Parts: sequence; C-alpha cells; structure tokens
Amino acid sequence: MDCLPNDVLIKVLRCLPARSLAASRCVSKEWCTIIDTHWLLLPHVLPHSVHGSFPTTSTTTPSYPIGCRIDGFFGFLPIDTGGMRMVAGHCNGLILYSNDDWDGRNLFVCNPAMRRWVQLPPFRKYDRLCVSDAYLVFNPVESLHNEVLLIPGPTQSDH
Amino acid sequence: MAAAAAEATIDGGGKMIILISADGKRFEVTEAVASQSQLISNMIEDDCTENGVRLPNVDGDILTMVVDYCNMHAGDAAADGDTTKASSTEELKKFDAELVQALENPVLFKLILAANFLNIKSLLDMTCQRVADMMSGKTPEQMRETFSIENDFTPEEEAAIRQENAWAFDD
Repeated sequence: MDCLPNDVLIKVLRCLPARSLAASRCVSKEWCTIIDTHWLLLPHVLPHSVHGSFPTTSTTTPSYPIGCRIDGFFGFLPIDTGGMRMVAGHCNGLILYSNDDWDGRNLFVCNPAMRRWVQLPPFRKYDRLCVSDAYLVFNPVESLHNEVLLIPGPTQSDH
Repeated sequence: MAAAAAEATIDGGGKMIILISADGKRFEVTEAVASQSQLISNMIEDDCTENGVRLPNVDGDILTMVVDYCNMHAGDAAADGDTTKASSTEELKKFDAELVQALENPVLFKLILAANFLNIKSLLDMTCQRVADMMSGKTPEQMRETFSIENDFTPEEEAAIRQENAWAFDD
C-alpha cells in the first residue's frame, strides 16, 4: 500500500463508506493526515439528505430519528437528569441543545451523528443572557466554525 | 525498419501501436485499444508512437492484463451503438470482476499504478474500488494486517483518534 501515491490512496479512500473511512483514520498517522487534510469525512458527517429529525419542543422523551443510529436522547452529553432539556436550535446538521436547571442554563453545540459536542460557558440564573433566545449559525460551505447568537430578553429596567 | 513494423496496419485500416513493457515484451494493439490510455492517446495525437511506446515502469505481466482489459473494453469506448463489436455489459462486468478478484495485493497495486500512469480512468476506478471493497467493514487492525501497514500511533494517540470517531466503532 506504501507504493501507492497519495492521489491514488485518496481515490481509494473516497470509495469507502463513512464507517470504514473513520476506521481508516486510526490505521496510521499518514492515513489520518490524508483523510483530515482533504476533508474526506466531511461529506459523510454533513450529509445532504435528511436521515432523521428531532423535535424542537421541550422534551424528556425525544423521538428516535428513523433509519439511523443517532441517539435521540442526547445521552452522550454530560447532563444530569432533572433539568429542562430541549433542542434550542439547529443549523445544517448541528444542534444547539439546552439544559435549564436551578442554577441556570447550559448550552451545548453538538453533532449528534458523531456524538461530538462543545459546551458554552454556563449562564447563572439571574444573568440577563439566561432568559435570551439562542440561535445557532453554521454554514460548512463558508467555514467549519459555528457561532451561537444570544438575543437578550427584556428585563425589568427595559419596561 | 522499426518504424515500419510499429506502423503496421491491419485489414480494417486501423493503425497498430506497439507497446513495450519494462522487461522488453512487445504488445501490438489497435489505436482504438491503445487510446483508452489517455497518455497514449495524447502520444498518438502528437505523432510520437512510430517507434513503439516504451513503458519503463510497467512489467510485461501487468501490461498483459492492461492490454486484455483494453481489448475487452475497446468496443464500448469506440463503437458507440455498434452492438456486434462491443462486448455485452454482462460479459464486461464478468470479465472485470474476474480480472481483479483473484489478484494478490502486490499485483493489484502494480495494476493500479499502471492504470494511474497510463491514465486509464475506468481501470483505475475499478481497481481502486476493489481495494476499497477489501477495506470496507474492517477494523483498523484488520486493515493494517491486510495491507501490511505499521501502526505508528502510541496507544494514547490511537485511543484519542478512535474517540473522535466513536460513532464508527459501535455495532
């Protein structure tokens, strides 16, 4: 396999289904670098077709997406039960997940297909941003970074 | 003299091209067969095939396979709609499958390199797909074993990379 030039190896890797391509990342440093630098996994983790859907209402028993292995309960997030959990927003395959408990509000940007997530800095209960509307903005064609916009809600002084 | 031999024509009027492998084996093929290789097609356009086409990085046994493939596929590339000349789709599929199925890895890789060098897209696609089929569904360990690849990750690095794509390792 060493004898194959990179462009041919890339051609082979492009023929692989998503799982085997992800497994190939673990084969060697060289393969991992090739797969990452050419974004070979990107079309698989950001598919152009819809495989499932999540309810965007407050929910403790979200429905399972049909026909795929995505965890509809977001069990991969480090959240204790008891808070109010909900899908706060979504954009191009990423989901903004919110968990409100007595202490305040926690927001997570997650890719449920890959079970990867980042947590935003938490808001305290009396923080003005705690009662804000949160929106996720993500356009993988422009950039692989995403932004979360918080629009503060009205406070007593605004009235 | 060599030029005269290389420019021999057959009854159909098609010009013949001589391909010469790294180990000196000579293959006489029609222009239609040879020009499935984009490399040779360009050489034909540039009139550089009179003395035969030397292929210093393709061995005779590999070139035999390439020529067989091109002979088999010449019909579908050249004779559009001419069903008497073109091999049937089923025949071609069977031929293609048999060509790559039984190959040992080193030979398969040599065939890929030849298809890449000669720029024969359909053969390159097919052989790359064959390698992908061999990888499909395998664990990283099985892939390393199949293709004799050394694992140069430390156990910690490998665990971290696996974690990044944990979704790929569930049943």
